[in-house]
Amino acid sequence: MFERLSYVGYTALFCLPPLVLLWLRREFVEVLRAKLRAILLSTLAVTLYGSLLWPVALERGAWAYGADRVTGIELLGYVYLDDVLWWLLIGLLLSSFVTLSTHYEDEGIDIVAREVRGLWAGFVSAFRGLRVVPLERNSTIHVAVALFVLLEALLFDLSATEWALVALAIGLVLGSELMNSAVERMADGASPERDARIGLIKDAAAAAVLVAALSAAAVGLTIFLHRVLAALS
Amino acid sequence: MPVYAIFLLSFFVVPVLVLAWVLRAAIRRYPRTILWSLAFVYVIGLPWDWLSVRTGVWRYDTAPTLGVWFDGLPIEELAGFYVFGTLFVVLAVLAALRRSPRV
Repeated sequence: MFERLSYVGYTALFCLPPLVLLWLRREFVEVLRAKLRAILLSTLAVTLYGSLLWPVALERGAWAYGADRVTGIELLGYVYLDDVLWWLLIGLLLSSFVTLSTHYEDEGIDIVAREVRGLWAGFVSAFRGLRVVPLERNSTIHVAVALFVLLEALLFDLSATEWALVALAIGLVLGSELMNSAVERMADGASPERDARIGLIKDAAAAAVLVAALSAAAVGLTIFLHRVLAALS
Repeated sequence: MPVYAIFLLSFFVVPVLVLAWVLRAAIRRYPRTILWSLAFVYVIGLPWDWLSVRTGVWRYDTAPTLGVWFDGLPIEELAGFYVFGTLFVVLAVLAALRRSPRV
């Protein structure tokens, strides 16, 4: 895959996801928009500076590009379009981060540490949620079936694609079972008495597990049935 | 002559030192922003640079270097451009923010 990526491709691959991370969150966008002029000004300044300098470095051989990995388009007959895009995206990315981080640092907040702590707390809560598995009959059945399928998969020497499908199927069933447990508990907590509307919600959540289990069964049959029959014959 | 090292020294190290002196108050005020920026450049830039060299997008062996290499990446890139290139951009942003009426 990486052999097919060009200079521009790598720039997009490594710059666009962190840019989305910074510019999609509403909390961050409000800060960034308030200081948009400074962000654009510094991005423009570093892009101009870099675009002026890079051809100088290339001419002296500080580095060189693979001939088939750049667009070959030269802006004003001087600088590669690839280099201008590189500086533009790097400049925008760093300008956005620095603007955001300085805003929070002014308030005494280390924004990166805050985000990492929040992520960690989310993971801890998610793992704590697994406590519900031994409390539910259906969940324990699904875990047992998943273990059986995994052992079968080891036995039958599946391909990478088949392993991926098995993993997806198991994750789909266990995930929807956990979601069903959450909906059931929330519904029971919200309405301890019998209620037709709550009943419908619980049935719909259970139906989601049924659909997931049926599609997982279809995946299992497709992958294992012919192997089992061949082994038996 | 180590071409890349001289290039970095002329166009990044010297400007960074000048900007750092001008913006010394901002540097003292935002140490975490500066450190995190450097950390991110290493976390994102290192695999990017390494992959680019491995897959032939660019190469650094077309002119004399300082002679210290890490799997296709010269020390100039790892300790020079990553640090001073990043500081240059960070200081440019700090300068723009200082001029921003909203700050």
